[in-house]
Amino acid sequence: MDEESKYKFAACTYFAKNHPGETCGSNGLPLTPSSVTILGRAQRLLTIEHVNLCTYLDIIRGKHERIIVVAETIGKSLSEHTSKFSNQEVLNISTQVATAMNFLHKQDVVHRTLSDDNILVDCCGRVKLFNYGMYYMTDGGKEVPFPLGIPRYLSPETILGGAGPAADVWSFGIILLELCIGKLWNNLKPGPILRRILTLVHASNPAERIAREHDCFDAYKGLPQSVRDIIEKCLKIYPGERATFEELVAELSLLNTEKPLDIKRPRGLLDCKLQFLYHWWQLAGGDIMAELKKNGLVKHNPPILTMPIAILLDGCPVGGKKNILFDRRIAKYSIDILNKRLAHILIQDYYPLIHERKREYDGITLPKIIREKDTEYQFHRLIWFERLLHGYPHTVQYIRAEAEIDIPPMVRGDVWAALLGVVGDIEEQYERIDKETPTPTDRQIDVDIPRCHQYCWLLCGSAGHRTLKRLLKAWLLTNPQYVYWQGLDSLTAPFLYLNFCNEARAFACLSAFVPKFLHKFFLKDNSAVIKEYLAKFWQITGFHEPELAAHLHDISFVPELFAIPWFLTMFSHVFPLHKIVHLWDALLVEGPSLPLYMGVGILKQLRETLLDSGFNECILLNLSRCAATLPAASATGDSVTRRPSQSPWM
Amino acid sequence: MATNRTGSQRANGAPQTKVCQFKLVLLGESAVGKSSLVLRFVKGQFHEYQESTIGAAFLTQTLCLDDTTVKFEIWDTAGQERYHSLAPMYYRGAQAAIVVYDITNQDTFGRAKNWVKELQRQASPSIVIALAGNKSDLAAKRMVEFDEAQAYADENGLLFMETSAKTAMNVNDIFLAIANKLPRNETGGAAGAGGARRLADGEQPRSSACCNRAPPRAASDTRSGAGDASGRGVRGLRSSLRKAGFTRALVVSQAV
Ligand SMILES: Nc1nc2c(ncn2[C@@H]2O[C@H](COP(=O)(O)OP(=O)(O)OP(=O)(O)O)[C@@H](O)[C@H]2O)c(=O)[nH]1
Ligand SMILES: [Mg+2]
Repeated sequence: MDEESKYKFAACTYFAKNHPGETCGSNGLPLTPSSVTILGRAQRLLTIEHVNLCTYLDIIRGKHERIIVVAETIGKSLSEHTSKFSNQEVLNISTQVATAMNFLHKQDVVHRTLSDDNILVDCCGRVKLFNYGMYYMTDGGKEVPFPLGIPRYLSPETILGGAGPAADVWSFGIILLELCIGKLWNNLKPGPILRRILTLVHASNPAERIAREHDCFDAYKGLPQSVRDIIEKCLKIYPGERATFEELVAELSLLNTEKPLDIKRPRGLLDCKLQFLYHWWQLAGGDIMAELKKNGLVKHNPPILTMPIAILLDGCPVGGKKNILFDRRIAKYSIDILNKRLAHILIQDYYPLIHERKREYDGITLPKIIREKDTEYQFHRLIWFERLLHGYPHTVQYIRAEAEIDIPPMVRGDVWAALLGVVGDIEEQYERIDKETPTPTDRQIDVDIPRCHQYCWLLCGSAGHRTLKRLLKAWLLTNPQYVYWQGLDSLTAPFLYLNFCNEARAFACLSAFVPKFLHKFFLKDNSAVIKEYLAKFWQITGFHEPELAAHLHDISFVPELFAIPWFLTMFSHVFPLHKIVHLWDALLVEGPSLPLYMGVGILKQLRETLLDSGFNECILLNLSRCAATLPAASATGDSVTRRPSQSPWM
Repeated sequence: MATNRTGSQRANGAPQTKVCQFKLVLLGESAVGKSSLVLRFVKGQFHEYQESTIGAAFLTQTLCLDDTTVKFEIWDTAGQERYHSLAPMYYRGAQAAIVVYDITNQDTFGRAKNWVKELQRQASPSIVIALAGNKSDLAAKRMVEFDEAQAYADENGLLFMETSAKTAMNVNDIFLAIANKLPRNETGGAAGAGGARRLADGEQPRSSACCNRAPPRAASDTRSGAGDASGRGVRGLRSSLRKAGFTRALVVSQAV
């Protein structure tokens, strides 16, 4: 394996904007940090896949508003290539770049920072764009304290501050021109470069003008007419006159005689999904931060140097050594440690067959939390689940059986959807629901969302808020028999959390979850249902813990006073998300009587304390702090938990 | 009846201190800051992302007031109108109520008036009601005028303050004002109907499993003496603070 193809991931880092001092939003509460907004926006990028785009793998929020972007990498960038490309190579590269750009524009993603250092080419001539989402994730550069893009690729209208997608076409034109006649404005500082670009406004043919400025007019004229045509269609002063990438792709593919590469599919580890590789690599000890530090991309200044010289009355610091806001360098990572870790795995283990499997792995005896951190265990589980999910819905009983053991965090969203029986064209169904028209419930939703699991970076950003609101409105609209009860927000949160970029599936999961587990709980008058549920809970408590139940009864510590949020939200209002996911893993395979036992489990865990306490101490106990363990549900027969108002089909 | 002389039983406390226990309920539209006020009063904290309240939450806090220790048992209720049917079980038997609105939202003031009406009709006749115009740090976005609310409070015999859970303005003060208005001796305290407490009081309504009934009766904790451990130390601190000209009451212990 040669040097450059051993790297699979790369990371780059930059700082998000710092809100000055103690500025507050209009509600008097702190503004959402820019890094959180970026994190929320970037989630969509994680789902974009295209052969000519480096897949985004992770967006990490570091200290002091630092953002670290991890993505796939291949070969090296155009700027690192020292040798000149042949005409044929130029055509091949630009066709692939244009294809990628066309795809992005179709997805409404504007690149804006296209440049020679983020176009990667490998030894077989395959091209991928790296970190094409800077402009998108930073909301058009609004969330970062530095300008985006390299000056020489900026279109005139970008410099003047009013650019649209056509600015990318200009940048593409400049890159094509550079590939043909060499680097432009090589020794100029950014200021003069920008001035040069702006003077092009007067030129009737900017491409020729640039070539002349660089004493390359003859070389330029020596290019095939077809190539010059393309360059000139891109380098039009008026954005509206420029070609679109769709047109460019069409023209370039006619010129490009090189056949699309038919790379042989690798076997084994490299055949696995890149996201899985990254996950296992991390479990095996791969450390993004370490390499960034080693390469000097993350520096730690001694605190004494970073202290501001003065702090203004509004809290703005003045002076003090700052880190570089955006370092254009990237750190690259090989998956050597993972290769070593999984070296002993047989090739057939990468391609297990559904019907001939029943192998136990050593990890199975470990606690779930540890299993989730075990490279090899997660390797087998993920490969296996991936297989099963591929066959969904036909494999549903296998998925259920495996989910009883545990669910790998990487595919939890998919597995939950499978367990809830989500099938069909959910996108289309979700699309058709009106999620925008205001309703009287909006005020309540609006005040609840900013209080719902806000420690979670995904849910606390504006992207999270908007999506949660849409989900709630969609659910209410499709369930006219139900109303919004506070707590429905918390109930929706885990689904959003696991399907952040798949709103339709989050909705489908919620829609399937409620009838199974919370049948009639969200009726306008739900008191009968809740009363019945709590009575059942109390009855089971009495059965399993007679002494405790008698004591609680004596001190009037009744479930009405503490258990409504437990059951109304299936514990999603009382536990943090990382606990809820495990709890619901069990809930989804065990069925709707499990929560009752979970409730008993919580009381059981606190048994001694509760027995020793009076009413006040009991109710002051922070019940959510305990681990949610499950008492032996099997000790009680199924019929005991049956409630008349239970959903009939469970 | 809300008074209990447990002072003499305590090993470390000051024997002459009376201990009064009051049940207090917070009512008001959702998101006006009820939970935030309680959190500020009880723990001295403010969480921007305070979770919404489902059903109700219970907290206690003890105040030292001259020769009396006042223990508040606080029920912080859910604000959403739908949870309204649960409210009576929290305000029934309460000796005090804080009705909260948000000064930046006129609707919440209207809702507060409704709560006051309901309390006047349904709650114990001797209940002490305070009106709190919360979020006073957002005066720039004010929609409810101070004078308007003050006039309303005067008309209805309510205590009134504008508070801010965020800046802590008037938060301790409003609880203090309530404590001062509550009868603090056996004779004065007897008015509170339905008594909020005391297992010792005898009758023990079996709780039925119905959300609309089953009044929560906060049981006393004579055994554990929560908050007493700090008694002497805090008293000492209190007197020296008082000498130094500080407020005459001081939050002495956190029961949570
Ligand atoms: N600026 C400002 N915000 C406040 C203040 N008090 C509360 N808030 C904010 O208002 C929002 C609602 O506060 P909560 O305390 O949850 O309101 P609540 O009345 O308990 O609401 P429910 O539990 O839904 O009935 C939260 O985001 C708080 O951070 C205040 O004094 N000033
Ligand atoms: Mg609350």
